Amino acid sequence: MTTFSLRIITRGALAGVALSLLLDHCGQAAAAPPAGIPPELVADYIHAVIEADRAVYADRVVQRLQNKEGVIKASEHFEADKALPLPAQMLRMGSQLVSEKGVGFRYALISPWAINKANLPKTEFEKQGVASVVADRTKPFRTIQEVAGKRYFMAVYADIAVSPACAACHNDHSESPRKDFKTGDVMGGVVITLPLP
Amino acid sequence: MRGGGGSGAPWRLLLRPVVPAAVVAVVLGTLFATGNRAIFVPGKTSDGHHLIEGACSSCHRGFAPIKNESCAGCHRAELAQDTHSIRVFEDPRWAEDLARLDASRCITCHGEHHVADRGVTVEASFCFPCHDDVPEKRPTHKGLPASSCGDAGCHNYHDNRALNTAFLTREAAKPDLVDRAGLPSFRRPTTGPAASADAPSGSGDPEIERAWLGSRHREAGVSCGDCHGEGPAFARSPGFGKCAECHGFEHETWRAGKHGVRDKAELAALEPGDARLPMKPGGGERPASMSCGTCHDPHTVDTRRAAVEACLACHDDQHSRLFAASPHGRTLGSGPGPTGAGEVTCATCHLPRVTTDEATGERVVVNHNNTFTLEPVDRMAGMVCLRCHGLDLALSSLLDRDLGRRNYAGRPKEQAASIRFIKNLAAQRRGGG
Repeated sequence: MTTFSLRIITRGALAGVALSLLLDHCGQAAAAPPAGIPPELVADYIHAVIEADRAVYADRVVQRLQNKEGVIKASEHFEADKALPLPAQMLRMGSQLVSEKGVGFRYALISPWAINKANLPKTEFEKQGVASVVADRTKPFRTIQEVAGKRYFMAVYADIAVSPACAACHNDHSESPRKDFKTGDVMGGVVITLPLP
Repeated sequence: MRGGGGSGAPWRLLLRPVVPAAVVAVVLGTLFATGNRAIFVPGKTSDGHHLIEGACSSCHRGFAPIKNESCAGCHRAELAQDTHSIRVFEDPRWAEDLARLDASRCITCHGEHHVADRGVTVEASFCFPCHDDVPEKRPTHKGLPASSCGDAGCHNYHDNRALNTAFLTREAAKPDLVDRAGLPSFRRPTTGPAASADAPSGSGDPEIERAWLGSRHREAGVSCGDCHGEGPAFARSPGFGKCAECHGFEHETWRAGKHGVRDKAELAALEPGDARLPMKPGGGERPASMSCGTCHDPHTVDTRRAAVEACLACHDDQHSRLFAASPHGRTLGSGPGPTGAGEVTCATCHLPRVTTDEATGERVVVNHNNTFTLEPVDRMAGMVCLRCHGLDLALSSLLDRDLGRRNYAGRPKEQAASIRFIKNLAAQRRGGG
């Protein structure tokens, strides 16, 4: 009886310890914060889509239809001229629709050689960021900043002239401060801003 | 005496403030409840809103500060095209600028119950808190006064794409009169004529029937019963809700302008005496209040009457009185009519025809918002004037307020600053090239 009782007690104690360890482990797992996706990776994902869409539009649409096949022009005043929007306008129109949705994140084009002066680097972050990607196109410039009481992750990626049409249009424009762009040059930066919790 | 009064004194002391306060509360409550709310308005309401100042809840939610949503309730169509959209300012790159001028709130620039020029209650140099670097970034703009951004015919805050260098350059080169028949024409109805008036037996009026037989309604197959109903449902005066069933665009735009905004605000119909502009004295041909039928006889559907005579039955300002003798007024009768190509009526400029894309196909309709083309002036230039005139004459004339009062009889006293600027720039570039 005594041995049997001891065995029962020992097994019960072992089962209790195992159960408590299991519950403790489960509790820890439940309490742990979700891993989430780091903001720099989110920005990389968003930039990959922007970059791909921008390259497709600039090369497969504008370069092909305007410069190669001569079917239709791309114009800054595309509505009045019944023409294609410029690649930069295409990006801005998409960006505007995203911001109108109110989801919080936003993206924009900036350049030290902007034709539209509203797109010159404005904040210290933008100035540093665009200088950084002009110097090294392979590394995005990233930072976390608090602005007006809200925290933001911000990144600048190099914006590259992917087709001859990009360089030619900027070189020919009367308001362009730089006239020697070549295909493959860094023309400015894509800024991605993500609100942080 | 003291002892006798002593027992009642506390009550008299209590009643002293309560009774007048109660009287004031009853008077104010009665005034508010009966719609006589002028006493509650803290200052002169803007020209744009004074007709609805009795409907406080059109803008106010209790005593809370006005939110953008209140403005968007009526101005949604304009804001949908806004190039300085509120959402733009959620970008942290503008945070420092917003601290100087909070452009994320409509009421920062459009304060109400203030004396304001053209509804704007900030200084004419309001662009500068955010764009003070323009002279540095754009050498062509060096030395221009801060107030000239908006009053020279160059920039328009809510549509800053409207007047760009290429547009100004192209349009400024055009002659004063480019095409007298440039306005969109109504298409003839395609439904097919209604065979006969279907008014219930005995209630037909030969005069009304004759009018209807020559009308666009008949051409479009719209017969008596379509508006008045039939049998027991017959309505002698169907009301303008019935018009809106077919003329939805016209009805909605009418409610967005001064003629119909009181209907939107659920106030009594507009009367000529409500206006700040001079109106003809009561009696005579001046109508008592505003509805579709004030301008449109639904049986004749005479758009000429609606486009000129109906306006002049009420409006009695200098511009209106000089219309008949003006260059525009003298075009009447020159086209095939009614309101044919080449004719310029009051409605041509103030209720412009626009082309809409609908599921049923493209339609030419009339924007019945009678204030839409008034401000900013480049809107009228773009929507109306440029269909017949070059931009130089159009913009220079619109910016010359005195010429406007004289109904454009004569030449503008000076060329619009934007046109001068663009022509000088083009000359410099030619010289430099």
